[in-house]
Amino acid sequence: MKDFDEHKDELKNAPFLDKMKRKNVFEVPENYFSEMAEDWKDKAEDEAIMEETRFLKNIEKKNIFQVPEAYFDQLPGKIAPENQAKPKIRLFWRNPAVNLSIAASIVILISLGIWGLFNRVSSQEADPSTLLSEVPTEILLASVDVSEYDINMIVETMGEEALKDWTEIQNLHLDEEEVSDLLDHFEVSDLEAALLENPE
Amino acid sequence: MVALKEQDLLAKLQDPGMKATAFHQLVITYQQMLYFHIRRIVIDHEDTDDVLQNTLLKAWKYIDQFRAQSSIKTWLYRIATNEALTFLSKKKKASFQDLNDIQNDLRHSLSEGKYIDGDEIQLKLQQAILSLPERQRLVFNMRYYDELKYDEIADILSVSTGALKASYHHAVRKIEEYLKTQS
Repeated sequence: MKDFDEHKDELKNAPFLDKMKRKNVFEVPENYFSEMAEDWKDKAEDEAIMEETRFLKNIEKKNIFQVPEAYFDQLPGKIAPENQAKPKIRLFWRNPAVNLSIAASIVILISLGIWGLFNRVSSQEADPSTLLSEVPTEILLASVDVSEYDINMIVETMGEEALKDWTEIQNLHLDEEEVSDLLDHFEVSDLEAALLENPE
Repeated sequence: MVALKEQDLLAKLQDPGMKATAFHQLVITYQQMLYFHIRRIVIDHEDTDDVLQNTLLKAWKYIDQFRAQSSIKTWLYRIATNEALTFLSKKKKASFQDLNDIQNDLRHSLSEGKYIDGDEIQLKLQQAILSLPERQRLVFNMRYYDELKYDEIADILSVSTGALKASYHHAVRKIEEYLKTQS
């Protein structure tokens, strides 16, 4: 009671403060305290499980993944609206020749203007040789610069089986944007070099 | 720089005149969180960079439709998770690989050591995590490393918190078992 009396006496010297309604102006997000209690309960349960381990609990929790120097300084600039391109698509070029076959198949099909046709033809009905032979040369040349290699060589090299297997290509679920992107980023020289490296 | 409050940030993101500046702030705020989440799924830095850029491009594209039923953070996590899993799925289909092959690829990326700095025991832990089924791996990483709440992970994966807790506890036991056999 003595403290309270002293406090009252102090406020006599601060009449404006004494008249102010006492109110807690600090708020917390909705459900903050109930969620905090739940969160602590979850952490306690997790720690109990971890305590039962012998090896895992003794390993330092550490991020072993690193990034190239200044990566995070440069990323916002790459993502800036003025620098935005269409979403990127990976061709998995670093993987075996079979991946190359699929990518090459798609590129050739698109470049020949027969992607839509292949999507309407079942794998049993598709005959790459027939379809290729029906493509006018001017369309082929207008789509991709093929002057430095023989398209028949490519078809033979990657194997007709890969071309015939439309199901696998369709399973990539490429939308129009991705197909367009694929064409934009396709380099004939890359394909040629890759074919030479992976003749099978 | 102090991060803008989420409500303020969202209002600016959905204001055409302020969107670009606000999005720049969003990228700065969340890029590291998203990068390392994706990196733990796809392992390789180059792949992570591609997936992260696609994630942010999609966030830019769809932020106008974001209705704040979850936080921006969990919304971004959800896009990143989906993009990373889609990437692995396309990789699997494009190369005629099955799940085991993909896991071997990821282990290979890990053992190559490019942009990875961990001692032997840290690498063993990562190998153990890679041996988990996909959902357990996601849950373990988000809970153990990112220290997300179960509610947040539930928002991201659209799974009940009960199932998530079970997944995490199974994951811990499997990792322990893996480490024991490797010791």
